[in-house]
Amino acid sequence: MIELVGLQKSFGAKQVLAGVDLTIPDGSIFGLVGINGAGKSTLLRLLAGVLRADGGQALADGEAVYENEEKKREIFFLPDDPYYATGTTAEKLIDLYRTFYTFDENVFAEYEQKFQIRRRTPIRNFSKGMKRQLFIALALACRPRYLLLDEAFDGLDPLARLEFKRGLIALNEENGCTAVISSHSLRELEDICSGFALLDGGTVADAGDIQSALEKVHKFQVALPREAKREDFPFECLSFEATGRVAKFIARGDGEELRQKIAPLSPLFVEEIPVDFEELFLCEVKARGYLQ
Amino acid sequence: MKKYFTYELKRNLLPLAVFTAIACLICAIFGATSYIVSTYNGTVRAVNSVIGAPTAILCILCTIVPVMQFSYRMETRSADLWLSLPVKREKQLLVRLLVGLLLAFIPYTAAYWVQFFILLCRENAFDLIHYLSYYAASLPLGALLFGVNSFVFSRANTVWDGLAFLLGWSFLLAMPFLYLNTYIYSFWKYVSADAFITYAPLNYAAKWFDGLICGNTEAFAEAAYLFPVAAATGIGAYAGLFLYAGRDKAESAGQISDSPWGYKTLLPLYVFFFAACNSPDNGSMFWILSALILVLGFALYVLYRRSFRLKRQDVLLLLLAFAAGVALACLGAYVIYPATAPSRPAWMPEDMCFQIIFGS
Repeated sequence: MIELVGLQKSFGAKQVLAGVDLTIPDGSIFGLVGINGAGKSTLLRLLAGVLRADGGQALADGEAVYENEEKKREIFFLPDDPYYATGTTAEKLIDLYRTFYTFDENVFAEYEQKFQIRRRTPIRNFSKGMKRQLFIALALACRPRYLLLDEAFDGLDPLARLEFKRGLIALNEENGCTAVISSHSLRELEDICSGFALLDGGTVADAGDIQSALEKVHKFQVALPREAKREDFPFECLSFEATGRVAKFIARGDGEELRQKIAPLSPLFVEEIPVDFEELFLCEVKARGYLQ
Repeated sequence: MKKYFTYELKRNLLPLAVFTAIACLICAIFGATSYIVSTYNGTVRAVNSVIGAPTAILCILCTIVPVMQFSYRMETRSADLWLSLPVKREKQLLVRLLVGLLLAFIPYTAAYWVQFFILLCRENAFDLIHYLSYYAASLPLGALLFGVNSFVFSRANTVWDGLAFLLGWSFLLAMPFLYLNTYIYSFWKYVSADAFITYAPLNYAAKWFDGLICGNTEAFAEAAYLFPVAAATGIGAYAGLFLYAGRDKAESAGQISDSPWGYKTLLPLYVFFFAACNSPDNGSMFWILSALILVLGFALYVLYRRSFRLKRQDVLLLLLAFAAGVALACLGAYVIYPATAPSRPAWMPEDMCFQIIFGS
């Protein structure tokens, strides 16, 4: 289990994390979301033991991760822009990771075939997506207990994304791997993540089960017999837009209660539209004043 | 750790091979073509042991290899990789140090003995046993230099800053003695400023052993202070490396190098000492050099801060260092020098400081 207890981190005068408290259960695939500069990458680096926290602790199974060799052997961190030296090939990277992790050659060979990875070609000649595929294959082949992925889907084509998600789920099921994924591809996160945390203002603004969070929020499309206005809907909305007689809004609360509140407006029709994770995220950031 | 050490060695096999090949080639050429004996009146005399060539190679390797081994922390992406691996920072440092020493000393050793065998095949008048004794002496001296360069370079947050620190620290310890050489009459005969350059121990040892190999036994007076200083700085540097290993911050990679071992100390000290060595007796040159020192000082601060907007403290420190240097220069020119020089011989130039700084 990963626990973040009062985690703080500043870079000079800028405080990025101001006391993050979060528990990530074992065996979960956890999504980390937030606007640019929210501190997602910083949090992952703290969890990976790259950075030392200014305050608080990042714990894995109750042990502090920083400078803990034994615990770090169970953690694999894949940053958004992984490093490779000029002339590095996939083979050399395998040598590197084999030195520190239990490297499963069969798993790598499987992805080598799927992604058409060329072992002896210098990585500098790969495209962005090919590099990402290679590093994902390496990450999955290291069979870590904790997999930390920063911008996991960046550069991957839809097929590669599918293979990656399948590989992650397989790792999760076979090894009980806990994955923490930071990504702006919220649709992909919604597909595979069970839990999420929204970082904002240096703390966790919202966290929990994705499905539960989506169930608490409802999106309605309502057609009224007259021009629709915001004042017609006497409850708090996370988002509201009206075009002529049709209003679309997202609100928190019980779906039935919301329908009962709409009923007095004599709507021509009321349609509930499923809310996806990206919409929920946009509503949350809008509520925090980031999007006008 | 054994696995990591093996991996690190394997990773550096190609550079090792390249360094060894180049070093051997250079020393072989020097060994084959250098003028090593002179024949006068039927007497063959050794004139040049050519140990300067492998010594120079060792100095170069002890500069390049620390840069190769310790630049991994100076770029964010690289730091993300190496610091996320399941290995403690001290261990990582130790492995990189050990492999670095091998990277420096294996090519040096190969080149040294290749050159030796070439010289052996030529007509020579050398006291050959001292080739072995110089080799034995050069190893700890080289290791100490390696340690100092590794520590100094690794205090920076970028490679270029690290190279600047290497250059700065190479000459810094010589600066106080440069001042003393400037203003204390004949002080340079007893303690020469260049003996405190970081490369000096190897240089002086090579010169002395060159004499021994060629059959000239001369006193090595500088040894009394040269080697203790080299040992102290070298051992201190190794200790400093391990002390700072756990403290260095990953987020500093690529940032302005704010270490107290870097620009913060080097710039004011250099301004201070250059101003102190600029004798007011130099006439108009004093004003020209003073302006040059100030302008260069400001330029270097701009380089340090990567901006023309310097902090108030930087400007104050610069001006303070300059003023203190000028005060010390006046003390030297008007008090120390007259007190120590009985009279100025005809051969001694008036502008001695100018001569020393810019070469006589």
